Amino acid sequence: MKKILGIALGVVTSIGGFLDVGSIATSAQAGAAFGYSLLWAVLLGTICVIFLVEMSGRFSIVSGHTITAAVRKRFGFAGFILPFAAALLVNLLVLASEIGGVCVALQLLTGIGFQVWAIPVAMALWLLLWLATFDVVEDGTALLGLVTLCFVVAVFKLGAQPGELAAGLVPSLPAQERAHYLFLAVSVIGATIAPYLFLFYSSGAIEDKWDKSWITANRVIATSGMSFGALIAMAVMVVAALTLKPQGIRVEEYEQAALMLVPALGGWGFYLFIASLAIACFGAALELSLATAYAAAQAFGWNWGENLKPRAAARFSMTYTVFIALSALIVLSGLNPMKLTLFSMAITAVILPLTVMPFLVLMNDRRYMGSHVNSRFSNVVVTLIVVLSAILAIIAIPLEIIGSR
Amino acid sequence: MNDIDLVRDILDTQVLDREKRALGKVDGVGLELRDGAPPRVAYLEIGAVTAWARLGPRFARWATRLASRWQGEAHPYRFPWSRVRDFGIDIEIDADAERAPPLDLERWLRDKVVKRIPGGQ
Repeated sequence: MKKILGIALGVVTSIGGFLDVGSIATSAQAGAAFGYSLLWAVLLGTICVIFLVEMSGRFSIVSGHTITAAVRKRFGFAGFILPFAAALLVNLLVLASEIGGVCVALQLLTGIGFQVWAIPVAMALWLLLWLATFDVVEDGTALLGLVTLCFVVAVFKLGAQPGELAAGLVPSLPAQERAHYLFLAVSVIGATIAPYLFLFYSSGAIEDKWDKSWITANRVIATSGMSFGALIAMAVMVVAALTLKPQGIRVEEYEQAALMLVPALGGWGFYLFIASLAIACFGAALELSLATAYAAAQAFGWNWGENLKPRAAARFSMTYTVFIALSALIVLSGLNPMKLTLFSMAITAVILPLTVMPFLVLMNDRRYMGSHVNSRFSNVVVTLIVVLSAILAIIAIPLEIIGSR
Repeated sequence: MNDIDLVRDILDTQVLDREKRALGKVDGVGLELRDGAPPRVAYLEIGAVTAWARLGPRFARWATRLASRWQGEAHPYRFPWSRVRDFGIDIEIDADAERAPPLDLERWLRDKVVKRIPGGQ
């Protein structure tokens, strides 16, 4: 019974926690610019992230290690530090994007510019981590995140054609704007395969003391949580395709996406969009701040844990404090939050091999995994998607920068 | 345990004190060369300088210079294998984290920074 409850909570929180600034921004922009034709990128990213999340749970169940600690042990400090530094840098950019997303939601609501909100939002984020019990905060925001299901409701109300949707699941190059199409495809994949997601998941499996009886439960949580979550990301793209594209609205800023739910849901649509953006980004920001502090603690051997008071984990709490402050500075600098997000997601795709491949080596090491090593099939799927995405990203980023001049 | 591989099993492993509080990672292993006998493990080491020095001589110089400003004589922290009480996923040693040198920074941050911020108590 306890296990069923655990599975249910796991699935619900991964649905609520799936959507973040990256998925909203990339899906909205992709739908507005290219209709359904980038749905395949969400699908591809989701297949990969299902495999990765399942692996990270299985890894911690079988080996008793968190991924970060095990990568350092397996590859040594010298082999570990570069991927680690790259992951930190990307986390910083993504956290700035998430905080920016909350700020933009507040700007849409109040009319006061987003930069003004950077410090209050960062303070609220930090206070919750500093004062509250993490697991309550985390499950709470993930449950609130279910508000993003309004995008799925909108798809049904707008009556999308199943046949056309299915066609979007097959990759195809458009006649025009091929460079931008490629860039968006890469960003969508980067937004879907967020490395902090599976690092965080492995920490959770250790904290909740999952043993081998959780192997099947882990598979269920990873598969259904990520699949349902991906449906919401696809719904954002479909709604943008149905409401923004016909009017020729290009989503270069969040303001242009704010009304995408109105045709389906009426006046409430505006507020639902704001709530979705704010809650999804805030929840992801919490998770990302924690995930980064976890990674630092697991890398350097500090105390870590969800429910430690700051006093009992000084370096851990200082890590997220500094990290949040730096991200707030990036938002404060006034970079266009939408551009920052898209760029961060594409960079995520570039460094994916650096974060994923060492983990994949661990998954095939019998000293850690015993008889639970990866199947050849899952190795091939993950390697192909990750390497392909990184190559595409390396091609697409310069093209996008040249093209947008 | 009959066969222990120093690099594979010891280096970069989590070290805990006798109450399972985190002390740090095994950042280095010190060997003692003996005449006419195989080398043996003299001590295990916890210390940021030791870890960074593994990246190469330039990093070693840079880390040593930085550390000489703050760290006292107790760094890096060295302990003999005889202090190891338990050895599996983590290495548990006979020490008290509350007083151990590897947690100097932790204690400094706790007393000088965290405790002074509201809610940090």
